[in-house]
Formats: sequence, C-alpha cells, structure tokens
Amino acid sequence: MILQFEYSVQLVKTSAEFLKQKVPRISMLPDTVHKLPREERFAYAKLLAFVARIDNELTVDEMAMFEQRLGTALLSPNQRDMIRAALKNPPSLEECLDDLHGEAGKLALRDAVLMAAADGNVDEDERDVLEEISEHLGLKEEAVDLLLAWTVKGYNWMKEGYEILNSLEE
Amino acid sequence: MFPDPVGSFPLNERLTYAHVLVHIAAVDGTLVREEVQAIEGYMGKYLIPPEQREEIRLGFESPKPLGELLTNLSHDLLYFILRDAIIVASIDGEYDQSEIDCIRAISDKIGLSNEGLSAAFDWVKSGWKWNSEYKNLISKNDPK
Repeated sequence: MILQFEYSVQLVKTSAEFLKQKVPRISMLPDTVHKLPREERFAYAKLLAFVARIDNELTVDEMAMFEQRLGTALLSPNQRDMIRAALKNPPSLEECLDDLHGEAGKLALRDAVLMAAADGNVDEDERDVLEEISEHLGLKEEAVDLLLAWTVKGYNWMKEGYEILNSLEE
Repeated sequence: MFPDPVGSFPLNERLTYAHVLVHIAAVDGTLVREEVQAIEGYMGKYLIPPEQREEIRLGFESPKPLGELLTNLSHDLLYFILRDAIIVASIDGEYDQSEIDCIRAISDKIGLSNEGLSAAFDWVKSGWKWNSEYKNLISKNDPK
C-alpha cells in the first residue's frame, strides 16, 4: 500500500516535471473574442448568425458551431436572445459589416470560415460572402483561401485527437 | 466538418461533462475569464439547455466533488472529458498541481498509461499552435 502511494506521488511528480518542460508560461488562448467591447462582440455574433443562414439551411454541425461561438463571446442573456432572433430573421450583410472592423472583424471572418465549413462543404454563396467580408476588412486577397487551409489543418488536428483517443483504448 | 461525439451523449452525461470542466477550472482557486469562456463555448457546442447552464455556472463558486462526478459515466465519454479537461486546464498558460491531480484522476479512471497521457498533452499543445496561426495569415501587413 505504501509502495503504491509512493508510486502515485512519483507519477504526479513526473507529470508535473513533464508539464513544466512542455508548457510555456504564457496565455495560450489566442481567442480574444472575450476581450472585445460588448458592442463588437455583438456585431461579431450577428455576422455569424448571418453566415449560418446563407444557404437557408441550418445543420446540427452549424448550430453547434454557432452556439459554441456565442458561448465564447460571453454575451449577456439579452444579447443572446437577440442573436438567436437574428438567426431566425437574419439582418442584411451590409448591416452586419457596418459595425464590424479591426480585430472583431478578423475574428468574425475566421469563425465565419469555420462555420461555413462546419457541414464539410463551402458552397458558392458562402464563399462569396466570405470574400465580401474579407474585402470589407481590407485583408489579403487570398485571406479566405488561407483561412480555409487553416480550417482543414484544424480538422486534421481534431481527427488526430480522435485517433489518439482511440489508440489509448486497450 | 468538426464532428464531435460528445454532443450525441445523453443530456445527463453532457451535464456531468460540463460539471467536470467547471471543477477543473475552479480547482486551483483562481478562475480566469478564458476558462469561463471555454466552458461557455463547450456548453453551447453541446447544446446544453439554458436552464441547465445556469445550474452548471453555480459550480464556479462551489464545484461538485470530482469523485462523485466521475462515477456512472460511460467509458467513452471519459476520454472526451480527459481531452477537454486538459484543454481547459491549459488555458491560463500553466498547469496547476491541483489541475494535474484532477487530470490524473480522470486518466486513472480510464486506466491510461503515462505515455497515453503525455500524447494527450502533446496533442493539446499542437492545437494551441494551430489556433494561433490564423493571426499571421490574413492581415496585409503581416508576413505570409
């Protein structure tokens, strides 16, 4: 029993040492949505509501991605209700873009790409909207392509996670 | 494109999943906004109803005991709990010893080897790297 206890202490120590080596002491979350002023977070979420409804279909994958981003934006319950209403009755793209600039705009474009790709396919209408957002923000011409490639990389990362989880099963 | 089986577990198990993440976030005694943000994101992603989210948020003040939460969970869900517990624990940039203890407890419940756990930590680290890459991709003034 004592041996067992010492063993588990050793395991924790090993783990802690391992982690100290592997993990930089910096803020790891590059997602800065929560740091934006509330109005900008609202504008960000409104654009995502628009993107979710581009093809007039809302798949479970898109809904899950939308709700995830809504949660991440730390909106007030009242604002969430307004955004969910926008999902039923989307505002125009122009209206969404009017309030969207700088960092909020870039984050919105990034997450719009993630959402458009959530069902495994970015159709022409979605692509056009993404390009329009990118242009509005004054980003690189190839910004949407680069973000789509980045999204695929992220998908592969998620897939690798499942493979690791599967490989851990005895 | 990002299918995630957690969303297809029964609601009671998804609630427990969220309570475990809340426990991880609160266990080191300091709750940072990023941890709350991540958990709110997970609750959204797995479509937890608003009323239940209210109840889960109470755990930020007084989290449910981990041992109690880990009983009666399906083995498969424990893997996803482990995965997302490591992500939540890593958010503030360092793993506190109390967080490591919790992760170890989940890992033990699954019966994972040290190597397996290390692989999971490495995977999380590579995810943060991926996540941060977008910033340099799109701005005109940023290098390609």
